[in-house]
Amino acid sequence: MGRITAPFGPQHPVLPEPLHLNITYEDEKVVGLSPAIGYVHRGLEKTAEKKEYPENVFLVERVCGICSFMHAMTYCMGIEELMGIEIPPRAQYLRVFYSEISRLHSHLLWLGLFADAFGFENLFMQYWAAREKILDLMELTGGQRVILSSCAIGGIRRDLNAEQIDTAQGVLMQTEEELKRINPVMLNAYTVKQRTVGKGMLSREDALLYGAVGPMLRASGVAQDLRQTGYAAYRELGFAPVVETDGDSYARALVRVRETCQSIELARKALERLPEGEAAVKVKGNPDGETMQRVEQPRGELLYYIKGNGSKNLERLRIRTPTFANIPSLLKMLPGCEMADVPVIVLSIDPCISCTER
Amino acid sequence: MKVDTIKTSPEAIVASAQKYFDDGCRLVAATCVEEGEELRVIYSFDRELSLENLEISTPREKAIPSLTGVYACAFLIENEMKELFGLEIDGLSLDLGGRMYLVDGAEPAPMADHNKPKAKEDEKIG
Repeated sequence: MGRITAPFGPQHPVLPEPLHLNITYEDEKVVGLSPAIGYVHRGLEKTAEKKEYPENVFLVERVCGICSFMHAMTYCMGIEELMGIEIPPRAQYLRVFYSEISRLHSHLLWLGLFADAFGFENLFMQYWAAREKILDLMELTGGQRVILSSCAIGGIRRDLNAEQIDTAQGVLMQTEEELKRINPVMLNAYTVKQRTVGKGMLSREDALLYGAVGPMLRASGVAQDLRQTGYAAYRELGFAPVVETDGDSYARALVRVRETCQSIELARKALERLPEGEAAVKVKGNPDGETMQRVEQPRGELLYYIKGNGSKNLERLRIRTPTFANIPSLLKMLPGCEMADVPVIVLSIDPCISCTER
Repeated sequence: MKVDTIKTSPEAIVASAQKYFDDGCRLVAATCVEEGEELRVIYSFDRELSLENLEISTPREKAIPSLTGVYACAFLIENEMKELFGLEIDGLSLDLGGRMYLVDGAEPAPMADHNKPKAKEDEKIG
């Protein structure tokens, strides 16, 4: 049987962003692949050396439009540690609130795209309609729909007032009700299961060998979520990771569906228990030394390495994003599958190329 | 968290990584940092949500061994370090040939020190 190698992406109808894979087929079966990312690499780590460290908050927010708040938060956590800054409890709870609504809108975005990947257009529209309300909530509280610029070194730049908190609680309750109606379709529909159950298998052992993170790792039975470490106010709010064991595309969807409900619960709890007081402290001085910070993004573990030298400019900023860690797993998940399943399996890792090509 | 590292040699890095793998640890990242004439590589492993770091230092022109024989996922990280810092790596299981990010005619090793901007004068903010 002859073999052909054909590019999948960087432009492909199923891809929201330009991921490029060179896939080798034998008849219609995948027998090998080589990732060739780099289509939109921006060199932001290098740019960060040229900016002053407070300006980098705005720079790292632009690593990714979907989880921009979490990039800013991780960077701020690193700088705060280097400078010995303790942020107010109110800021810790607000960081949880913004992180969880970011995760919620990211998962709703992905669930819609996933439905679209196997042609379930109605489900795609339902998820995106639900997501729209969360984007409106982000605009109401942060002033923008995507790039919030709410996080600052020392806390949160824009505090919430009582009216905003009430509205946010209402929107979250309403979204919870919406998802009770939509989620069973994703989880129980015959067509969804036909396209996802048993597709793109990744065992627990392979997930660790290939360095998978986030919902990819948890769908393969590994109970790891960095929120368990208790950063921001997660320790006070209580948290247990969502874990599934089947390791297929359906299990990965199931983890994300369950995490949408968990995010609503955490965001609501953070608002209910929001401490009184200031939302930020003043910052003086420059960072010195080196630190590593990790947080749980919607797609998994995000790592920032920051090295300061006592001046306003950093010596090195290194960002390891979750999709960068999840791409190697495709080398295990795709070989052996049918050509028709490639788009669904690739999408099941929730690829964010904006993050990957920071 | 502050970065606590265990220093080891390039020759011993594969055996050290194998111990982490045997313990069920996950390879999180490898971070390349320029330190004068040398390149410092920090390998980060996750052990039950705690981060442990191994560190090696090497002259740029001297190749270091690849971890892809232990951790299959290391190929992407190592290709990135090779391309952006000019770090030579022996035994890469999937070598992307310096064309992961860079295109033909691009300046090699764009993250290396010759591209580093001069730090501005120290000032206070507040």
